Amino acid sequence: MTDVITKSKDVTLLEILDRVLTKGVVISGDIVISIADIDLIYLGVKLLLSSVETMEKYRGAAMYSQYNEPT
Amino acid sequence: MTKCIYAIIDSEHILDIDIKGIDGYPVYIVAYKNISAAVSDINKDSLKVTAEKALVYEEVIECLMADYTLLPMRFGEPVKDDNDIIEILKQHYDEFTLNLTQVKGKLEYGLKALWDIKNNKFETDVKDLSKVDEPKEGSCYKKYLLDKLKEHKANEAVIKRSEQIIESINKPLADLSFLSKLKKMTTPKLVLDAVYLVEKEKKEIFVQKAEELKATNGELDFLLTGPWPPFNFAGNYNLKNGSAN
Repeated sequence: MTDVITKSKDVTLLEILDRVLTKGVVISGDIVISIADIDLIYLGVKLLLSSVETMEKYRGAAMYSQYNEPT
Repeated sequence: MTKCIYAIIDSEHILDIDIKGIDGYPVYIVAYKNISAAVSDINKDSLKVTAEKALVYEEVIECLMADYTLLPMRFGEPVKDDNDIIEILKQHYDEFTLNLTQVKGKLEYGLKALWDIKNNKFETDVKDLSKVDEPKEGSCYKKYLLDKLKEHKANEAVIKRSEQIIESINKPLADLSFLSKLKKMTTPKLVLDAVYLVEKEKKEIFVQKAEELKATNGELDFLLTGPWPPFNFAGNYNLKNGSAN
């Protein structure tokens, strides 16, 4: 990092952590994606790391549209 | 595989710098119209917070900042694939371009001013301001109330002094800034916690002014850091209520 007034390593780390963890652009909520003009898959951005099964339990219904037969 | 967005940048052209992100994957861009998201692949568990990853994340953003105007993304915002990213850029295109325009050609500086409330100078000030006549005679209840009154007046004196300090330090720096934000008395010792968005051509004057203020406020400890990517001026985009802050 250039032009840093303080050279203290610990202080700089705290300042970095404060910024990257609590500031900056946050995208939260759900997004709707249209894929191949056939399905609309509604995904929770923060749930992208969960399995499909977990998502289905959470929503209480199959995620897939009539075009995809549930397995 | 998951993706990590580091920042929104004001360019749709392929990066001409070679940057490695978290887990060593190359940083690339996903473009929509004239803006892009700077992205890399990451391993599934890699957005768990560690100091090392936060440092790598920050270094990527600082590398990008040397060549681009950008809005830093908060660490820990995973996305599934490039299609998700394009949707995000599409849905928030107007806010992103507005905020990119706002931060263009500017740098963020942070200032923390700390005081030692037990410092003799302050103690004297507080004593002077909170002088209360002792009763000539009275019960223990009266003494309790008088002690409470002294405590209240001492707190009032501290608040008044902190407001004076904040005004004398913040105003000259805010006047040199495009935008500023501050928090007062976040803790008993942290009298001022402020961030300033400063035009690049004013950065020397800004830093010089901060150094002058430090010299004239010897009872305070100053912590001035920067320049930073504009984390505090990047905006928040909440899809649920459709607003941007």
